[in-house]
Amino acid sequence: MGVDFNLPQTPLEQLLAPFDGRADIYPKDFISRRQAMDGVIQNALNTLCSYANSQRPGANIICSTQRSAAKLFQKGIVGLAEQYNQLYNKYQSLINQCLDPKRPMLGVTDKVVKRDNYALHLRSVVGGLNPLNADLRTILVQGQTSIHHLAQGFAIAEYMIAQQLSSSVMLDAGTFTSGLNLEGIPVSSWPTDEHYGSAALSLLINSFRARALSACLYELITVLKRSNMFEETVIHIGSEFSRIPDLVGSGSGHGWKGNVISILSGAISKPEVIGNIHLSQKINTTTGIVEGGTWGESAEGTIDGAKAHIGIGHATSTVAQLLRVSHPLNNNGPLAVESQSGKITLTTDKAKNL
Amino acid sequence: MKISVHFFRKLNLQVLICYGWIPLLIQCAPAHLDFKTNGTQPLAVTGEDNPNLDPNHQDTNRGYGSPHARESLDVPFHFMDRYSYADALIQIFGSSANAAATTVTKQVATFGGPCDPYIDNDCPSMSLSQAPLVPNDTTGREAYRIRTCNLIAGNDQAIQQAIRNSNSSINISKLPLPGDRELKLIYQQFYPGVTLPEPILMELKKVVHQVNQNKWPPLEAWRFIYLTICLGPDWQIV
Repeated sequence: MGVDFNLPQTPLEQLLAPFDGRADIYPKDFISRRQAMDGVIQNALNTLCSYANSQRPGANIICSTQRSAAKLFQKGIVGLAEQYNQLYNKYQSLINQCLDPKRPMLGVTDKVVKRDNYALHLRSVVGGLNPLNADLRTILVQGQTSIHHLAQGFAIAEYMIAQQLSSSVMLDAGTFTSGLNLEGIPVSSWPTDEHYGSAALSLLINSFRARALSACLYELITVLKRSNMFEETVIHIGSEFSRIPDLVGSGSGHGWKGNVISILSGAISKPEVIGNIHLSQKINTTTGIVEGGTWGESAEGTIDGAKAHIGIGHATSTVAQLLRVSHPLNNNGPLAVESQSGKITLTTDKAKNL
Repeated sequence: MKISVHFFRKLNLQVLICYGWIPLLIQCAPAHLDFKTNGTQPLAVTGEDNPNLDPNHQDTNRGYGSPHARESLDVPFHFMDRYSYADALIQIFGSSANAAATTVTKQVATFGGPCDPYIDNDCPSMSLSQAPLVPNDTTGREAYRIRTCNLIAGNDQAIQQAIRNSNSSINISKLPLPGDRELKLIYQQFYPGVTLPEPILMELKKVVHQVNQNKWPPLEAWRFIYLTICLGPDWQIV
């Protein structure tokens, strides 16, 4: 089902609409008779399910799914708009505080960030445009700069998980940052795909975005801890690839050879960093692009006693392992396993720079 | 960057793994509700609990590809899309089921069958033009099925039309309780060409018996038989 942020209903109302039958109109007596017949109908349905499963193995999933749907009906879904707005306001307030340029970020905002000569790559403008801000820090505007759909996503995640309406939520960590003061550029959203947007601007905006994301994650985890749910929760943050900085600071390319993921769970006892990276710097003499360096290019390591590069397959298997489900990639085992006692142990060495 | 939050470690059961458009983003989706935002941001929520309550069950229902087009390569069943499901309801229950059928056809993402952006009002959101051709069964879909079956079962005209469609010689004004033959005919409306299995026949007769015991009019027996089979799991499989 689609969640459309432009609709008047809140995302929660849209998401849970299938389970809200309050608008369905039934004739007099139907509901009471339906309830009186529930037991005998359920018995007949069980037989229909058994027979279906005997003819089409696996068909009993449909019946289980239907029972799940029925349970959601029984929960009674009311007052969603109010609850959603409370959660949304909570996360939006955190985001606003984190995007406030007056709240210092050491190493990023403690000095003037001079604009450079690298134009923002607007898809609609050939050649791009250069923001005129003398100090790039002025691009962020207190109370105006925000991140698309981040607060909405966390509000949905908290409600669905904490209310146990769902066991899994996937949300976008805010693709675009809006409400920016890009002087001389007729948009207020982060318009680049970072190839040509200047490294300085990328660093500035992404640092603020990371701070906002961290604050939202911290709040969500706090809620889950309060409900004793964090031990049984896995939060997985990732993207399709990392970025490789270009040679002259104009932006970054697709860092296919590196990827950073974070896995957060109450089942993990302490912070660990795993996965080796290359330190040596290689410059492609044809393109002039730095292909190595310290940006995080993956280096070979030892996984379960064998030499291997950690890849997406390992990450996939690790998340699957933590969720106690079978992982689909036999050639890429998990990087952490759970013992009988519930302790999570690593199957690979801690990170080294090679 | 995407974030996945999963809370079902304690269930300790096998569930399906399906890939998002970014392979790193696995979603483990038991009885899942899939939803996405109106832009390019995929967002998926899975169902409340694991459908694989049978520990011996091996779920092979895996969805691949983009969350915008969750067509599956090895889905064991091909479920009817919104059009074929709605058509089936109208074929059985006649035009009185139009309103309920429309509820189904509006659920593009849930019931599958991408909308056509070149047809007026067909696409509530452009991303739904990439809705799956072959939908998965989800708690959302089952919720709409429950509601649709209830709405139709509560509609006297729809039930009477279905009875006529099953047996044109039946006198609606002097409706008898459905017997074995009638139950078989009703079953075949949902499962064309399939003989009503004996164990199911026995259970359906109990439904009829219960109505009779309650001293309700015979139409109620037909009503709840239709409701039961409508809620059945596999007639929606193509």
